[in-house]
This record gives sequence, structure tokens and C-alpha cells, in this order.
Amino acid sequence: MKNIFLIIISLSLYTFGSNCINCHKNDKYYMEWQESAHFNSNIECSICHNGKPVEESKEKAHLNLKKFFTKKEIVLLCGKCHEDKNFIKKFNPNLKTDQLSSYKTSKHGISLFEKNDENVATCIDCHNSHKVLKVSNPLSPVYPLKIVDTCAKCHSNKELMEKYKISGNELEDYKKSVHYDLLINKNDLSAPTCKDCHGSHGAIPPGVSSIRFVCGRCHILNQEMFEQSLHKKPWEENGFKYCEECHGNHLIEKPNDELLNPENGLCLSCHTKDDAGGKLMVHFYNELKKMENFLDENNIRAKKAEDGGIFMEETFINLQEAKAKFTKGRTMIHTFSKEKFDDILKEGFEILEKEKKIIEEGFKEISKRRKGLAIFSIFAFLLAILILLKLRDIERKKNG
Amino acid sequence: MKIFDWLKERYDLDFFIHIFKEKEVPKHKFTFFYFFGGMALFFFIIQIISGIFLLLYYQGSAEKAYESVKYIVTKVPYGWLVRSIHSWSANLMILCIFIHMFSTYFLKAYRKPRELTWITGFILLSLSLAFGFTGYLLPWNKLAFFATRVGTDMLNKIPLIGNWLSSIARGGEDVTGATLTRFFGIHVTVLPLIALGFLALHLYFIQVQGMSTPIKVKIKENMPFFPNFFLRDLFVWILSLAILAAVASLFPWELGEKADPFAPAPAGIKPEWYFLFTFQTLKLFPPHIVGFEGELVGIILFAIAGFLVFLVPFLDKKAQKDEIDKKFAIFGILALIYIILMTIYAWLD
Repeated sequence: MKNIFLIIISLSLYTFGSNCINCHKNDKYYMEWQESAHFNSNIECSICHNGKPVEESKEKAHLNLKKFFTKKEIVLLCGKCHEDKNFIKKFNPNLKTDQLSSYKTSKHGISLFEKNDENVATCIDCHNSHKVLKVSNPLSPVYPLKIVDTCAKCHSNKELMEKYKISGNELEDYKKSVHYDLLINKNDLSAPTCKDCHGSHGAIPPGVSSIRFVCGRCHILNQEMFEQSLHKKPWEENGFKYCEECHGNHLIEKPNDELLNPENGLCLSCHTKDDAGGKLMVHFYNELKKMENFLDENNIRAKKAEDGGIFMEETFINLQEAKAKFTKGRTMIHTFSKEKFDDILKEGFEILEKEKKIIEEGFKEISKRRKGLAIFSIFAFLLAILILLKLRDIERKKNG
Repeated sequence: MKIFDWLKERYDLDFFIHIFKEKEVPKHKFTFFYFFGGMALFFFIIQIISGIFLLLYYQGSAEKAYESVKYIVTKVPYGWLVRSIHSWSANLMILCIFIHMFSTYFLKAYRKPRELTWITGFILLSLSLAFGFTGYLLPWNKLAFFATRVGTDMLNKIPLIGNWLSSIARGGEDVTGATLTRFFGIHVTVLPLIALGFLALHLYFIQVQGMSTPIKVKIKENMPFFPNFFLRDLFVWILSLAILAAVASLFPWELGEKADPFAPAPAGIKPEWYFLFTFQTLKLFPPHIVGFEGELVGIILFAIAGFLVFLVPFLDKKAQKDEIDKKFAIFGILALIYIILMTIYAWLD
């Protein structure tokens, strides 16, 4: 029935036109709505605000008009259409219709509906009220590049967050993370933002036990390796926070080998330098450093050989493969197995040794070319001198 | 000598005897510029020889072109050197032709009776640019692919026949393997045949009419072409060869990445240096000029300028009377400054 009602309204507006524009065309909200996804789908003012837009007189048109909404009303109003599968699929068959039900399970929704907390975010706080844009629109506040700042509107307000025992430093921390760097500086829209770990409409902080599944959605191998490692048991027994225990949460820096530094590596917070764990850490560190230096050296030498005119494309491809082994070796640390780690690095070292020989061959070739050029230059120089001498001789004879 | 006598008995060799025995070259303060024509000829000969060597391995199709050039520079003995020499000498040849043309222009060597020498020279310059344009695509690398796309796209701007011309040049709507195949054919058969014809004419005119002497320049003496000028020419050729060998082996010509027609155009696509000034000019033109497309106006202006240069021997009336018309000198200096500045600007841009 509701469906039919909405369709009739839409159709009637389409057929007869809305008179809202007559008075509101210069209103801020009216202009914002004209830029929205709703405008393009003919979702007119009256669908949210009631009234009779086909009427010409202001009084009749404003009959039953609803100007203001409480936060709860907003959520339910948006949900009225957005949870209606049949209605939504007329505009976008792929659009989800679980927003309202998800929202009700979120921290925001629980606070609003169960604790009557009007401070929480509702639909319009993230999507705007009138200028509701598609998520894929780069101008939308929930577009990947913008959503962090949208969440931060409330979550970096320390005074507000204090009430909920949230630090309010999350945005600041996230902006120092490798994920933010990927998102902003490398323009990688798949990099995780707030919603990818916490959920969007059903936003809730992941619990200690489930955080590994959140990270594991992207870092699949790391999660699998850790699950099968000897560390899983003590982690669970001691209530450690899985990935977060070593890598942090919002401020996740780009992992580097210094996490395994023999002097102050991360492992030393539980292990000592002399126990098996400490020794394994030092082994990981030394081998990775050795391979990294070897890789750098080969890359520099290969570039020099290329600058000298030797075709090094295949070498660079193979060095990339060695780099992949190096990266995989770093990942293998999550197995905490010396054998598995060494097996991978061994493959990388073999490639590097082979390419080193090829690069050296390249340098020999450069040297051969330079010698050839030098011999040719001497020959050409001598020939040129001979010609000049001959010419001088001819002209001297001619001039008597 | 016996062979010469044997030939003389059968053929009229007076023309060649004249060149070697009687032809003289004027000696003055600008004699130096006479060598640039010879240097261009020398690099052209190098082009033919190195081109023939490259033809032994090169395969002119989109699937194999890049791989075959890669094979030449990595596997074929001295293939890297031959390819590098071919690319470097092409560029040095065009540089010499430009210097030769500007010196001819400023010394007014085009004046009567050498109008046709100028005309054939101008055609040879155009053919050299065509050699460069078609040859640039042949390794089928990324830069060449997109530069050719930009270059052939300009044909589209010509009203009425633009699309037709572009599709003739490309062998279709876009630059594809068909473009490569026809560029290859043009580069190794059509252009060499035409160029050899015009080169023969150009050299014949020079031998028949001798070197021009600049207006109002004091001639110190005349030196015999053979052996005095010939040995000087030989000296310059050996120096040219040494320079070519040095640049070709110290800075081997890069191959770059293989062309991918479906990849986005990389940033900073630029043509070869000798097209840079036209490229940059067209880039600076506004999108529309009095109702016409900016690029079209630019192309028309370049075409007019080129045509005027082509007709210079007939336009410079004073030169025909051995008088200097400063307008032409000023035009030449401005054009030269413009070309140099625009090329540098494009290079740095």
C-alpha cells in the first residue's frame, strides 16, 4: 500500500509538477536538493516534508507540512524508503536495503533508540540532509577520500567523545598510518577507512577476538599464518589483541624490519635476547637486512649497466621477483617458523646471485665497448691527421 | 687506370672528369658551411647501410616489431651498435640538413641559377622529416606509439579531407599494427626511392653549377675540388664518424617499453626534437581563433610558412640581382630564434 502511495506521489509530481519551486527556488536547501541523487530520481520535497505541492496557494500547499524532525524521525523517515526492497530496486537494483536494521545494531543506533541519546550520528550527519549524493560521487561525504573527515566531525571532538570513553585521537592517529598514506598519497581507494573496519551503518568497534578477521579481510595470508603458528595459543590464553598487539589499531605504521631490531625489537616485550624467540627474531632481522642490501646493490648496479647501454629489462623483472620473495619472507614471519622463512629467502637469494652474474657480464660488455671505441677513435684520429698532412703537402707544393 | 681507360672507351666520362679535374670551390670566410651538405650526405649513407643491416632482423608487425628490435639490441652481435648508429645518425643528419638549409638561406645560395637546387633541397628536408616520423614508430614502443597518435591526429584537423588523410596514414581509425606495417613500407621503400631520386638531382645541380658564392663576400681564391676540397670533406666525414661512434656507443639509443594501445597515454608525450617547435606552438594556440579551431589555424600558418620558404628563390627578387634584401635576413633570424627558443621551451615544459 505504501508502495503504491509513493509511486502515485512520484507520478503525480512528474505529471503535474511541483509548485515548491515557485517559492523555494532560491532556498539553500532547495538548491542543495537539486544537486542530490534524490533529485535525479524524482524524490520530491513532499515525500519527506508532506504538504501538497500540486496546490498553488501557500496555505494549501503547506497543509500537514513537516518542517523539523527529531533524530529518531530522521532515521525512520530515510529507512521508510531505504528498507523497502521493491521501492529501492526501481532506482537501483544493487542498492542495499539493510541500512536501517544495521543502524539499529550499531553503537549509534543503540544509543539513539535505547538510550534516547540525541548526540549520535544519524543518516543526515554522514550523507547530508538535502544534498544526498551517491557514495560513488567524489563530492559525497562518504566517498572513501572524505569519509574519514566525516566521521572525524564527531570523533575528533574530544569533549563529546569523553562522554563515551573514546579518546578522540583516532583521526589524528589514522592520519599517521600506512592506510591513510595509501588512501591519500597513493590514491588507493581500496585502502581501509573507518567504515571498512568498524562497518558503516552498523558501526561498532571490532572486539578483541574478532579484530584478526577484520585485518584478515585484506591481509589474508598473514592471518592464516598466524592462526597456524605456535603463537596462537598463548595469544588466546593471555587475551592478547591479535594483530593489534604488535601493529596497533588506528596508527598502523608501515611495517619495517626495525620491528625485529636485535636491540629493541617488538618480540623482546615477551622474549629475551637469548631464548628461542629472541634468537629467531635476530635471525629474521639479519637475513632480511642481508637480502635487502643485496637487492639494493643489484638494483643500483643494474641501473648503472642500463645507463651504460646494456639491456637490463629481464634483470629488472627478475629483481622484482626477488623483491617479491623478500616481501613474502617478511610475511612468513607471521608463521614464526625458521624453516618456512628460510625456504622463501633462499629462493630470493638464488635469483639475486644469478642476476649479479648477469649484471657483471653487462659491465664487462660496457668495458669491451669502451675499449672498442677508444681503438676506433685513435684510428680515426690518425687517419684525420694523415689527411691533414696530405692536404698541407698538396697545398704547399701548389703554392711553390 | 686500365679500368678507367676501358670505361672511357665505352662511355662519355667527361662529366666526372670535369668534377675531378676542373671543378673549383671558392674559398672565403663562410666556406666552412659548405661541409654541412656533405655531412648530411655522409649520414644519409650511414642510414642506408645501417638500415640494411637492421632489415636483416627487423619484423614489421605489431606482434613482432618490439621483440625483433629487442632481439637486435640484445642477441645479434653488434646489433645494439647498428641500431644506435641508425638512430643517432638519423638525428645528426637532420641537424646537418637544418644547418645546411639555414646557411644556404642566409648566404642566399638559392638565388639564380640555383633555384632548383634549393627546391630539391627543401624536398629532401621534408623527406628526411618523413623518414624520422615513420621510423620513430618502428620499434613499437610506448613513447613512439603515443607520439605517432598525436602526430597523425593533427591530420584530422584539416577540413574536409582530414579524416580521410588520417585514416590513410593510420590504416584505420587509430594507430594500430596496420599503421606500423604501412609506416615500415613507406620508411624502407617509398621514401628511399623518392629521396635517392631527389638526392641525385640535388647533387647533379651542384656539380653542374658549382658552389655558390655569397653576395658581397670577398673570395680569397678558388681551390680545386679534387683533391683539396675532397680531402677536407673526407676529414670532416671521419670526424663525423668518430662523433657518431662515440655518441652511439656511449649513449646507446633506448628501446623503452612495448606499446600498449589500450594503456592510457603516459604524461609528457613529446615528438622527436625536430618537431618540438611545431608541437609546442600548436600546444600554445588557444582552442578557438575567430571561429576556427586553434590547431587548424596553427597548421595552416605552418603550411603557409613552409610554402613561402619553398618559394624563397622566386620571392627574393633582390637576390637575383646580387643585392641583399634585409627583410629576408631578418625573417630568417627571427625564424631561427623562434625555432631554437620553442624547442628549448618544449624540452623544458
